[in-house]
Amino acid sequence: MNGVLQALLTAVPALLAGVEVTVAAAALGIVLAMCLAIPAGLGRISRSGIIRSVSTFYVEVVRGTPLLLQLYIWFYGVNILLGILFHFNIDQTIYNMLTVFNSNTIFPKQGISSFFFGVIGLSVNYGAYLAEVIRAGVLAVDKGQGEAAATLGMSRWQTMRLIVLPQALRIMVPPLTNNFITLVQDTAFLQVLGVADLSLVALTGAQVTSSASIRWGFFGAELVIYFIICYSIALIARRFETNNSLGIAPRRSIMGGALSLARRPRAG
Amino acid sequence: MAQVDPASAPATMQRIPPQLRSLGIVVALIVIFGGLGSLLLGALDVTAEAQREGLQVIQQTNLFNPAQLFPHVAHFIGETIGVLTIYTDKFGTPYRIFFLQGVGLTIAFCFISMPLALVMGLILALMSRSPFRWLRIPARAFVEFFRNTPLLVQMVAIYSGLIFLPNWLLFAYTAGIATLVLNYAAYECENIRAGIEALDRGQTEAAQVLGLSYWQTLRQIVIPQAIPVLLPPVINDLIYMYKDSSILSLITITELTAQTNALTRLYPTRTWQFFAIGGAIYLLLSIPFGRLARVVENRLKSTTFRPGVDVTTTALIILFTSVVLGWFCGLLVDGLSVGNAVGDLSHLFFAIVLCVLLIASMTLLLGAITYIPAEAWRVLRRGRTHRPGGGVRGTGSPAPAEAPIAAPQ
Repeated sequence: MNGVLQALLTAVPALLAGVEVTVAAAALGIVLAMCLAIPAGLGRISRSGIIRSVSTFYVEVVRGTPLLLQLYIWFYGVNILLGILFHFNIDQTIYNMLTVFNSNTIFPKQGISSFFFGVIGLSVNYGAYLAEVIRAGVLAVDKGQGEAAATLGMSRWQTMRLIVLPQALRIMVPPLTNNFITLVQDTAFLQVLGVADLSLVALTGAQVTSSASIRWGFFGAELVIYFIICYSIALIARRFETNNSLGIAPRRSIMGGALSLARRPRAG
Repeated sequence: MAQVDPASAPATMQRIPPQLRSLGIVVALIVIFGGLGSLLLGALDVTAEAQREGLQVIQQTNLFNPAQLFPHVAHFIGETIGVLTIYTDKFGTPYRIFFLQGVGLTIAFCFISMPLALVMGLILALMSRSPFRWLRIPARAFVEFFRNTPLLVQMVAIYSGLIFLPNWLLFAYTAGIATLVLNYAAYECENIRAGIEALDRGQTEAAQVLGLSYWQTLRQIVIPQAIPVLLPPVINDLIYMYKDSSILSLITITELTAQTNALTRLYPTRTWQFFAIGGAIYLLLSIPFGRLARVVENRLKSTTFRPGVDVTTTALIILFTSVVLGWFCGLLVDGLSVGNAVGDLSHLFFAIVLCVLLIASMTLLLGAITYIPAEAWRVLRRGRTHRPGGGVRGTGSPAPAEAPIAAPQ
């Protein structure tokens, strides 16, 4: 027991660094995935056949193949292909960019290409899943709403922005947060590319010893940290869900709708 | 109107039959990968040659030059077909054998793990609906824990953390199945619970009035009505498991992703052919299942489900058949022989033993961690209920009236 505590205490800085990498990957992944998902999700219900088939192709292909294979394709396929075709080296590029700002000392020694392509792969993968959520949310809004807006003389874009999306956003909150939770969990996949995230740090910490108790100390700590991160997101999401049914004050924009979701509704 | 008119959106889609659409996706995948892969192929050939000669050659391929692109794409498609049919690795084994073995193992793992996960999920769901707190809280703890931690980490923890277990009980095969079963049991528990809760409560009450016991109610009333509700999410989860089984490549199981990746590393000049074929195999198996889920959902929605057979027995037979199919797939990969058959059967047996052991111990452990504080908290709270107006949830005393909501100004 003492040995386990000692081993864990010596590993705390490394584990915290791992948590940082995990949280950074998850945050970047969520933002990039949403950036991909909104056009793809709206594209799937677009009128134009080309846009619709392109986004359907993206969604179906990405949802039909495993994340691990996609990460391999990004890192061992696309990464090398870019290097061969365009002499594009992401490490070199970012190092040069940092040099311009006189701060290349912060460049990590082990390079950043695995993190970069890992996050890209993760967000492309989740972009497809979130696109389905967005599509379902938009389709779940009552048709009469759009028709009423059209009767009032609103343009398509106005209807989307002012009428449909604010209502769809409330429907989308539970599935979106579910997907965010699985995204946080799936950042553990980045360890196959050598990104020193929480799972890889704990795994290396566990595998240098042959003592079962120290191994379980590391795995237990890792599982508990992941559980805390994911379960807190789930709890926050559950609060949103209960608020969701209470109704929100009408706002002028999507941003306003999102903000009012974050606020507690007034009683009455 | 982009969003308000879903009926007009699939109008052009209706004309193309769905089978053709999946085929189109696969063809487009191959062509797109062909574009990328052919470029890589040409470039890699030149660079490899240059390295052999000790030269530095800068390969410039023009993406927008059809004269360069089309021959490359044609070459790539030819190579892909070759890899699928007759090309061999340097030891003379055709590449297609590796892919077939990979698919076989992937299917074997899914078909074995899903029925086990369903059975365990049913037990967990019944536990989490039971009136006893000492059954309910451990089940909830198990489900929440396994749904909120990464599958990959669970797998690594089971495979390389439980080193005190003997190696005839814990090896890659059993650890892989145990991981998939434990994780998916948590998800299936949620599905089954939702399916049971969707039932009208009058059904179970009527069964009680008729004097049916708990098991009779479950077997003859609840499960037959819950299965139609349950079927679409379970098929969806089967697709998810089919994709998630790719992580088993990290514990030395040579399923499809592992084979693809290994071939890619060994024969880098055909990287993109291997990636394209691996991805296409995953797509070819998961898109039809997705369609099946949608068809089942629509059919169950449109008609009343009036089966002429004993649904529970049929479901059990299907689950058993699935396990047998999985075992047979694994056997085909290992090679058809009596020794392999018995060996695989014993592996399967030990995998089930490990699953049961792990689920029992994890439920006990997590249940103890959560149940004891919860009980202590309840006892502490109960001590305070004697205060005037101190009604507390769960103790049977009525809750105090909430403060009246302020009238809107």
